[in-house]
Amino acid sequence: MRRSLSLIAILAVAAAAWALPGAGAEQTIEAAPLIDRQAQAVCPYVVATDTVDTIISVLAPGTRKAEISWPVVGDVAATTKTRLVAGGGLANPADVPLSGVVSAIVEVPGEAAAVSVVPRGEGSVAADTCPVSLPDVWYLPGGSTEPGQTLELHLANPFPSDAVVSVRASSNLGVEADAALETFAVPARSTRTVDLSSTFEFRDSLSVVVQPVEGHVIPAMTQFGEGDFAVWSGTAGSRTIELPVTRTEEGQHAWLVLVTDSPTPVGYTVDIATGGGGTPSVLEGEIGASSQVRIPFRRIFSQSEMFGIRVTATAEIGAAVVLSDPEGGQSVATGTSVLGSTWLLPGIPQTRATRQVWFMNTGPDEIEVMFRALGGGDATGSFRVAPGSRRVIELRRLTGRGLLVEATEPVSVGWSVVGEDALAATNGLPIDG
Amino acid sequence: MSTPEIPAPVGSLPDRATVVVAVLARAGGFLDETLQAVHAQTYTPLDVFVVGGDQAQASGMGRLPWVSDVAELVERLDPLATHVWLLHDDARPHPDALESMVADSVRVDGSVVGSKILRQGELLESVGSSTDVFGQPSSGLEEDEIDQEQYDVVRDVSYISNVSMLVRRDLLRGVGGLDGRLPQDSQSIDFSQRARVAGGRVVVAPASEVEHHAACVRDVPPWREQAGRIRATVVAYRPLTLVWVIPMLWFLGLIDGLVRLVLTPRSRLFDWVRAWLWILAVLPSTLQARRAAQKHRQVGDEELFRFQVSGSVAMRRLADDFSLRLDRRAGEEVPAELEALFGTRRSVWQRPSFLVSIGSALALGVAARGILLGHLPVGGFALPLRETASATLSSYAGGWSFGGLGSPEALHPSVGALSVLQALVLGNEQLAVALATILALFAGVVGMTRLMGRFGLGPWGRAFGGLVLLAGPVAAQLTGVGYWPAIMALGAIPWTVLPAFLPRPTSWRMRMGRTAGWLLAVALLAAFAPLALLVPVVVLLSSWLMGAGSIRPTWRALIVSILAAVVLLPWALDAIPGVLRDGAGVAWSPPLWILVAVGVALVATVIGGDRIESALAAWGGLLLAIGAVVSRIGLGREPSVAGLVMASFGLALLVSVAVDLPRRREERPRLVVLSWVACLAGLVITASIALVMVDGRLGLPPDRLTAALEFTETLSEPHGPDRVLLVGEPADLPGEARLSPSGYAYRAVSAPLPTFDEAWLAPPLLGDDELAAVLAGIEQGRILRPGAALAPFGIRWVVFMSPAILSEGFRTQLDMAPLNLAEDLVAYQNEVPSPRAATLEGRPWRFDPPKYTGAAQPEGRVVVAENADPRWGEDWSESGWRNQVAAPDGSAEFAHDPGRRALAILAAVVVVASALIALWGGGGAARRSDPGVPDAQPDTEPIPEPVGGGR
Repeated sequence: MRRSLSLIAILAVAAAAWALPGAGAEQTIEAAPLIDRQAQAVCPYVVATDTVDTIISVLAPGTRKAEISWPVVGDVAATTKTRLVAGGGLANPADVPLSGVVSAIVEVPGEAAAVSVVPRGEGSVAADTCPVSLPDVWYLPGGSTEPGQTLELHLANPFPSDAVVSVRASSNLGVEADAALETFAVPARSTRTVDLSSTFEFRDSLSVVVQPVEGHVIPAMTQFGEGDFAVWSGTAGSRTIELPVTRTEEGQHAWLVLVTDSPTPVGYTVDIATGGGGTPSVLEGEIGASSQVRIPFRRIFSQSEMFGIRVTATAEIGAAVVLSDPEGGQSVATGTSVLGSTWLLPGIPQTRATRQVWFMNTGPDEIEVMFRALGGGDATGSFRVAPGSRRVIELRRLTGRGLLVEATEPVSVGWSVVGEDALAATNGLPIDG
Repeated sequence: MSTPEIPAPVGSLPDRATVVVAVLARAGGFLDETLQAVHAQTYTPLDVFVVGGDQAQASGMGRLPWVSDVAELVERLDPLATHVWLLHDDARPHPDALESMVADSVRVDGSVVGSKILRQGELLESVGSSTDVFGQPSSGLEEDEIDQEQYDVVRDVSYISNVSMLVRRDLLRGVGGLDGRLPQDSQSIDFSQRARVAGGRVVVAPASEVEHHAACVRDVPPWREQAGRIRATVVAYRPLTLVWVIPMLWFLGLIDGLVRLVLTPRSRLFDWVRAWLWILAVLPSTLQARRAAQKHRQVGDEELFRFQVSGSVAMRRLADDFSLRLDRRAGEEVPAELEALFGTRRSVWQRPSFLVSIGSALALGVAARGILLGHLPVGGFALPLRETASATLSSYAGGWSFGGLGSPEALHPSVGALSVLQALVLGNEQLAVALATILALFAGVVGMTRLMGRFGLGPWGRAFGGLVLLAGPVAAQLTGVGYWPAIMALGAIPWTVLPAFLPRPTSWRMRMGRTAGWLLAVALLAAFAPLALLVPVVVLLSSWLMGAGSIRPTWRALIVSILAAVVLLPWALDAIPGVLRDGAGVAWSPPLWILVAVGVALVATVIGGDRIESALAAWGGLLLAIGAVVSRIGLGREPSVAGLVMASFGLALLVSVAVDLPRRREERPRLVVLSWVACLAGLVITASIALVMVDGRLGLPPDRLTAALEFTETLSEPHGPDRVLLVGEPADLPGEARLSPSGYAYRAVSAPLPTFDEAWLAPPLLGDDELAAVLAGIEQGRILRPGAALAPFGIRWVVFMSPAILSEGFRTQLDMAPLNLAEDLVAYQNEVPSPRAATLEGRPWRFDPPKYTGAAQPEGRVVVAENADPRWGEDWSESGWRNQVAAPDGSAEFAHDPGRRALAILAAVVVVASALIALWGGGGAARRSDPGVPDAQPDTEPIPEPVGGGR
């Protein structure tokens, strides 16, 4: 009897033990308090030579200083601090001093900041908004190696880790192959330049996809013509891309270039937004697997009116608008896949040239847009943009170091500058997208 | 008294053997008899001197010449003398003793020749002797061995006794005579070794027989001989030999002393201490003697080794004594006739209990081979001890805890316990770890053997109980999560239960000793598993409930546990508020086959066993079940560890009984099948230790940290290694870790390896919150320069022990360089200077626990990256979460909390007092059980009957 009772008692306790979850106590998780946010942009192409100088323009409404580091040949050659006045400031690699092609890391305390580079030479200007994110695949459409053009791919690795990348090119001839580009290393804190003109000679149109295999790089392309030149950084791929900056004036040659890294053909649809409203599906087509297409503007919209473009694709693509004018001016403006209600447009030069800001509203509602200058300028204004339309504002007043744009609904915004023989265009940076 | 005149030398031996007799007056009372024996020699000596002792007495004996010592004798010797016969004054040489020695000396060219020493006419005392390399003598004779001329052959020996020793005069002069500081045995060893090193041949001439009254050794305390042997060793060997012999000598003496705390003579540890203190006191004269001996060196140490026995004589004796003790304690009587015929030491090796115990110890040794032969696999709570025990003890006693970013909270009591052990082995941390592990395994096996012996179980049951306790499926759960201190707790637990089942001591002294020993065992258990302090109470209460014991020991255990709680100070003050929930719990989750085996063993034993076996099995089963409940209920680490310690003990009990069941199958033929089923189930449970044996780490997780952090030593700055931030899964990190809201675990540790005292983390302080915020910023990509953000924490490296979310954030940061160490290891080095302490100008200071040191700053200040606390300096100010202090003397150290220090000292006093009282009380027990004492009582009593009747 006693044995039975003992067994029953023990088995009861044992059953209780196994009925328990048995996980043991979890460690208490201490909630981490938030700290101030910090913004970072990497400008992959900053050039300082005898003939070309670069201005780095920083817009950060909420702060008063920015720190710029210059990684060169495996080390951080210098770190400079830039004072921001009224939300904007400038820096120049020649101040460091540095020469040649380098990259720059711009760190700004606070959540909202945008950085652009504006390389300028005698009769030439370019503009590029520096990337703030690191996509897995970079798209760089819109290059050309036709006679007289020098196309270079710059791969900046400002990080302490070495990177290994794979570069895939496609042109108007189809998929381009070069074993040397399939895998090559970019040492930590350095920039490697690939001369695509000599590798792929005489291509009317050449686009590149860069995929980091190890580490990270930020790529940029430069194209030097007989007079002007263009600079554009890589962008992330997307199924929907807006290109607010298109043809700036009549007589320009303009193309829409689309590139994909998809192993299968990708269908695309082009919608346009004009001043009078939008026209959907003006063009539909297909990009071959891992290929690119270059579409002249005349196939998109035959009238001379300026318009904005939205491209929708069945897989991720990259898109750019390529502009060139008879005087030699040229520009490549990549599209944006992120819309926002608040935009920063750094780098708009204070020049007598024509300076335009492009707004595109692809949404269903009319929106109100306000802008004001940062960094000491006095430009301000507000206006409305109808649904499905684009609007271009020409800036005549001082813009300081750039503009802050606020809209009631998400828009896409870019800017351009057109001189006598120079042309530059780029997008702004949405800071609430 | 008249003394015959000394005749001129006569005899047939060569003229050159002219002998002077030197009677060493030591014992007194036998000198007359000795001199008569000398004068009766068939080989007439040239002269007779009395050396030492009372000059007046010597003068009274026929005006014999007297000298104060052998050195003076050598100076006064007649130039004709070729040999000196050193003879004790309590020795009576046979008439042909000298003649035989001289003859053999000439025949074999012996430089030092000894006699066969007899006592009581026929018993052998010495026929030349051997030593081991440490100078420990080994005569090779059985106790009271009768002389049957079985050793009568002239041969080289390690040493000969100076009771009767014929020495070439020139050799005696050259090596400087006998060392007057040494007692007889070690003096003989010392002289023989010096003679051999000087090229002399040391032989025994058994034809020369000398009766010895042994009065000279009666009042020599053991420590004098021990000290003498150490001195002889230092004098004789070459430096290369001394490099390893002296540490080994020290260590073996310590082991001998420690183990003999449970054997006799218990004073061996104190002898060891006194011997080494004496050696230190006479070091100058020892070195002088060494210089003199080495000046005459003719041969290498190999010549000494040739005649020595291998291994350690002391350890062999210890093993003999221990196994004998084991048998007696376990109730296995040594057959009297066997003991009489062969002696106890020889027969004990042949007994099953001994062999099974050795088997258990070997199995556990194999299971722990990696720890014992290599080092602790670093991981979990299995961390190396800090280099200096004093630093850890200082931290423990009210000092600063360096875990994480530091805290003034008291360290875990196991840190204090292990530091004391480390201090005892002169700070050798690896030795302390190995010793702690060995002692725990040893204590666990012996404790279970003794406890189960009290219940009349056979050797297999006892041995398997020990195995299951220390390496069974429950123990493996504890070690599997890296909780190394649990091994020590498991080793202690049988001793916290055993006193309840021992017969009641017959005297107050023994009772006090017993209680103090019990308290010591509970204190040890609690030091390594603090909440297990209550386990003995629960265990004994369960024994009463299951009919395996009475209720009274439960109350005694409760009192002992309350007293032992003192040793948990000062840790308890800080830990008690959160002790039930802090830390990650360890739940016992055995595989199904173990559960089935346990169930079968339990049911079969409870049903198939006799009354006691059934009660024991039920007791074990209940403890196992309660322990499992406690471990699985979702409490913190300490409760679950205590629960698992109890569960492992319960399982060990159950297995012991189950395995032993078929032994009595003849008594219950109807249940024989059930007995075998229980036994088989017990064997299946025991077989699970094979899983632990394979890896050789006692089930501890593999060591990933040592290899992972090895690089920090080579990449350290001149001021020494800073901190490492480890990131990964909680199981990958050493000791306790903090969890981020994203689910990854992290913790800062000292490079190159975190130490045991760092295993526990105090509740987060300001710096810990700050670090959490920085890591969140890095994780979310808001901090682009983690190096700059982590530098104020003294973090120079970040190591990802497993793929973690932070590593992605680290790929796009700007100031931490990746290190290409291994494919599965992601590590970054901070490019921003990150010392744990630095001046305001950025000059780094060195982390030199328990303080920081650097260049003196008469005017300047130093920032110490430990959580802010005003005790870091008099002129203290808070620098963010850190400390800023003045450091005019080049050091910054946390000022101890006097209250906590007092509590730590109180705990130490309780432990030491308990140990002393236990020894004192145990000494009384040993004396009473000595067969030579008329009032002796048996050491063991009949197995206690369970409540309610016998079997």
